[in-house]
Amino acid sequence: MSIATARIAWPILFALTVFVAPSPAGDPTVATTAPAQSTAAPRPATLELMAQVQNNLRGIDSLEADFDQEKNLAVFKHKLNLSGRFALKQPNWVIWIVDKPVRYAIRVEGDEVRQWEEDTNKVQVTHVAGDPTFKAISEQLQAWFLGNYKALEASYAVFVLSDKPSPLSLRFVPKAGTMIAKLIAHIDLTFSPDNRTIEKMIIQEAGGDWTTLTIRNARINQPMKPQTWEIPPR
Amino acid sequence: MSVSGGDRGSRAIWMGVGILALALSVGGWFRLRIDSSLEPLLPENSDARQTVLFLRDSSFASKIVLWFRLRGDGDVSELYAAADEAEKHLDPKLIKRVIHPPRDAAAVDQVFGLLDDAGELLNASDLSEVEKATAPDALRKRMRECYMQLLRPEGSFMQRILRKDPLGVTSRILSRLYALSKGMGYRVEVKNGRFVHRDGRQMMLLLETNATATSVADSKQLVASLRRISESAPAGVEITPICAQIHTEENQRVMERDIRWMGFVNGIVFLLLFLAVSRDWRVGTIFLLPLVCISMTLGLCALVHPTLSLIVIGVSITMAGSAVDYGIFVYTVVSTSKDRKADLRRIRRPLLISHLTTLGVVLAFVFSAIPAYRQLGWLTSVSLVVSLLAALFVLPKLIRTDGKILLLGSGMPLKRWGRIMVPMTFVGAMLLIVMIVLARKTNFNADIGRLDGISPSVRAAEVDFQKTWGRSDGELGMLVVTGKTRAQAEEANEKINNLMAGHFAEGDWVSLSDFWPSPATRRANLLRWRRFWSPDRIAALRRDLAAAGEPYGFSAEAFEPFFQILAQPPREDQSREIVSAVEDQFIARSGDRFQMLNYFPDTAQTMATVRDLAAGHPEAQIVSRRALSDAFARSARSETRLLVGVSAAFIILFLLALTRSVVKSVIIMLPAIVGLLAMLAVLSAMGLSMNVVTVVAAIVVLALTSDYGVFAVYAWENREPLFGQGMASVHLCALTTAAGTIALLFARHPALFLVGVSLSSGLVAGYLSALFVIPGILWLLDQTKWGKTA
Repeated sequence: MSIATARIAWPILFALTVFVAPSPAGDPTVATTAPAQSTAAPRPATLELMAQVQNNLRGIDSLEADFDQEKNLAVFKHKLNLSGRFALKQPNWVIWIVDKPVRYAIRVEGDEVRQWEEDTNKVQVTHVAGDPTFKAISEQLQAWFLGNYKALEASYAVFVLSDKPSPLSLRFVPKAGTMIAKLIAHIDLTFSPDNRTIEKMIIQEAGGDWTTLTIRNARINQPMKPQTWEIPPR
Repeated sequence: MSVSGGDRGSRAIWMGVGILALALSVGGWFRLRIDSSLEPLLPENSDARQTVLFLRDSSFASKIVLWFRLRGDGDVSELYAAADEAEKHLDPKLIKRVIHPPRDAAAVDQVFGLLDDAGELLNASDLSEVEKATAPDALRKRMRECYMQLLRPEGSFMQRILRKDPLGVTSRILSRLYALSKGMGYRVEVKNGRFVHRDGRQMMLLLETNATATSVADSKQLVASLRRISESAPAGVEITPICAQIHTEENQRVMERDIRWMGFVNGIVFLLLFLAVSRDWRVGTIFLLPLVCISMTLGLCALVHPTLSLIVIGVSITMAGSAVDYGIFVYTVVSTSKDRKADLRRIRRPLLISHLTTLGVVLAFVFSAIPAYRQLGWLTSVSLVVSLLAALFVLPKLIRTDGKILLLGSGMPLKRWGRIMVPMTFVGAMLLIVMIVLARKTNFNADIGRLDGISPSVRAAEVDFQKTWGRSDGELGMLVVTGKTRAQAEEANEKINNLMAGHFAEGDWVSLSDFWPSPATRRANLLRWRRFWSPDRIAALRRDLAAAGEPYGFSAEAFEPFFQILAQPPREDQSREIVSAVEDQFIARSGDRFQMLNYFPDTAQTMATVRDLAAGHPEAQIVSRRALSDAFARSARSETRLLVGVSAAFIILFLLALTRSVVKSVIIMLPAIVGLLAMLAVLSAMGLSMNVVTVVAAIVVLALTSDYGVFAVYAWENREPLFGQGMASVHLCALTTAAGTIALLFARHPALFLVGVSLSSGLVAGYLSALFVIPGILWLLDQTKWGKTA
C-alpha cells in the first residue's frame, strides 16, 4: 500500500464552509428580526427567473462600490454601523475597506491575503491556504456580486420576495441539514432597477443576529485606478 | 558385458539410496506449504521487516481512493451523481466500508462544542497563558481585538467563538484541530459530506478494503472490480482508482507476460540448439536433470521445513539451473567416449571443482539474516549436490555413447589458439581496466520503487493525484506508536509527542496528541482547570471584562457563554464525536493492538531527527518510503558483504585444496571476476544502479562463470582442440544460459530487465574471457619457466 494514497485527510474547518453546501431547503417564511424586505409571501424562484438573473450579471468583469453596513449582534449593546468601499475583479481579486468607525482593509488576490488596520498600521500577509476563512469570503463575494448564481443555487433554495414592480428581491435559504443552515437563516437580496447589481443584502443569522449591507455608487466594468488595490488604502 | 559382484552391490546401494530419497521427497511434497508473502524476504529484526509488516497488517493500509474528475463543462452535481452510482456498485465482499467525512451540520456543533471542553484539552502551559490574559491590561487589548474582528467581513460568524473565548486562549484548541488537517499534506475540502477539491471539479471517494496488496488473488479481484466501476463512469466524468493493489496486479501481469516470452524464446533456442548441435532426444535429460533434482530437494527440504517461500522456490529453480553445466559436461564426454569408465573418472575432478565453486557461493546464503536467503541456500546447495551425483551416476546410463555433437572434437588445438589469443589477452587486460573504472562508479540504489513494473498510465495517474491533492511534492513519513489498549497507545504517543515538541518547523510534525491528549492527561488538565477557576477568580474576571469591553459597547451578556462553560461539568461524549471523525487518519489497528500515527515530511533531515528522538522507544516505529529504502539499503549492503565474504572464502578454500595452485585458482576464477566487473560496468554505463535484484544476479554470475574457468583450464590441460570436450561444454553452457538471459533484455518489468542486463553482461563477459583470455594467459604461462614447472 502506498503510504501517500492511504493518507487522505479531511479538514474539519470551523469557519471554512460558512457559505456552502446543498440539500433540502429550510423554511423561507421563518420569522426574522431583520428589516423586512417585503410583506408578500415568498414563492420559489423559477429556473427561468434565475437564468434571467444570471444573464443580467453575465459579463461583469469588475465592480467597485461604496457600502454602508449595519450589524445587529448580540454581543453589542447597540447596532454597529460601518461604512467603506469594496472592489471585485475577475478572476479572484477582492478588496474590502472599512473607513468608519475604524479603518481596516483586507485584500485577497489569488492565494495571497493582505490585511491592514489603523491601530497597528502594519500589513499582515498570509495565504488562503493558511486560513480558509479568507477564501470563503473572497469566493462568496465574487459569487454574489459578480454573479455565479448557478453555484449558489446548488447551496441555497431561492425564493422571490418581490419582482413587481422592479426592483427584484430574492431570498436565499440555506438547504436544511447543512453547516450553513446552522449559521444562517436566510440571505435577502434586492437588485438595482436594471438588475445588474445588488443594492441591498440582508443576512439573517440562525441565532437571531442580522447584518444589512447597502451598496452605493456601484461602478460596473469601469477602469480601475491602481490605487484601488493598494494596501494600506488611501 | 559381465558385472562384478562388487559393482552389483554398489549399484544396489545406490539404487536403494535413490529410491529412498525419491520416496522421502514424495512424502515431503505432501507436507509442502507455499508462502507467497514477502515476509521471508525481510531481514529479521530489521526496520524494513517492521515497516512491511505494518503495511501488511495495519488497518491504515486498507484505504483506497476512487478519484472522480469532470471531463467537460459539467458541474459538481455530475460528480456527486457518479460517486453515488459508483458507491452502489461496490462489491461488498471486497469493500468493507466507504469513509464519509462528518456531515457538515453535525461538524459545526461538534467543533464549537470543543470550546466547552477547554478544561480537558488545555495543558499547564495554556493555563499560564490564560492567567496572563486575565490581567486588566491584557483584557483591554483583547477587547479591542475582538471589536476589530467583529468589524471584518467574517466578523458575524466569529461571534460565536469570541463569546466562548473572550481571553483568546481557548480557541487554540480549534487551531490545533485545524493544524491536524492542514499538516496532513492533502488539499481536501469537505462539502456536502464529501471529499471535494477546491476547484469544484474533482472529488474522491475513500474506501476501506478487505483485499490486501500482498495477495495477488485479492488484488486481481479488487482491481477488476474497480476497473468495471471506472469503465461504467458517465460520459462527463472520469473515475481513476488509486491503490496499492493496482501495483500488485500490474506487476504480476507484466511478470507473467515476460516469463511467457522468456519461456517461448528459451524453447525456440533450445530447439534450434538441439537441431544444430545434437539430434538426440535424450539430450533433453540434461535440461530435465536440474528440474528433477530441485523437485526432489524441495520434497526433502519440506520434510524439515514444510513452509517454503514461493519466491525462493522460483529463484532456487533458476540457480539450480546452473547444474545444467554438469549435465553438458558429462554429455560431451559420454556421447563421444571410447572408454566410458575412464572418461567419467577423468572428469570427476573438474566437475568437483566446478561444483564446489558454485556450492561455495550458494552456501554463503545459509549465513544470511534473511530467512528467504537461508531457505535458498539450503535448497540450492542440496539440489546442486543431488544434481552432481545424478550427473555422474544416473545421466551416463541414459546417454548413448555414439551420439554426435556438432563440431565436437574439431577446431585448432588450444595451444595454437592460445598463441593467437595473446594480443586478445592484452586487449582483455585493457578492457578490464576500463571495466574497473566504470564499475567503481556503480552506486547502490535502495529505492524499491524503481523495481515497480506499473504501466506509465498508472504512474502518471498517481503523479497527477499527488499534484492535484498534495499540498507539496514531498511525501510524508509516519512515526507509529503501538499500545495494547487505546489508552496505552495514546499515553505512549503523548510521551513521544512531547519528545518531538520544538524540534520541527511549524506544521511539520502532526500528531493527534497535540489536539487530543491521553485520558490520564485530560483528567489532569481538568483537575488543574477547576482548581484554577476559583469563584473569586471568576468574579474578578467578570468585573474586569465588563470594564474592558465598555468602551466598545460590549453588552453585559456578551461573554456569558464563557462563564457558562466554567460553571458546567465537561461533556465527554461531545468531544469524542469530533475525535472519531478525524481518527481514521491518526489511529489504526493491527490485530488487537492500537497504533497512533504521527506524520512528518519524509526528508533526510526530519527522518534523522525523528530517529534520534525516538531511539530507545521500541513502541515507536518509523514508517516511510525513505526509511524502507534505507532499511533495504542497509540490509542489502550487509548481505552483500556477508555473501561476497563467505562465498569468496569458500571458493578460495575449495580451489586451493583441489588445484593446489594459486595461479591456477586465479585463472579458474578469471571468468567470474571479469563477469562481475563487466556486469557492474554495464550497469554503470547504462545509468542503472545496483539493488537487491542485482545482488542475487551477481551471485548467479559468480556461480555460472566459475564453471567456464574450470572447463577451460581442464581443456587446456588435456590438450584439447577448440571444440574439444571441455571447451564444447563452455560453448554449450554459455549458449543455453545466454538464450534465457538475453530474452530478459526484452522484458517489460524493470526487475526482470535488470536481471537480464546483469546476467547477460556478466555471462557473456565471463564466456568471452574463458574463450579468448584464459587460453592466451595459459599459453604465456607455458612459455615461462614457472609455467612449465606449474
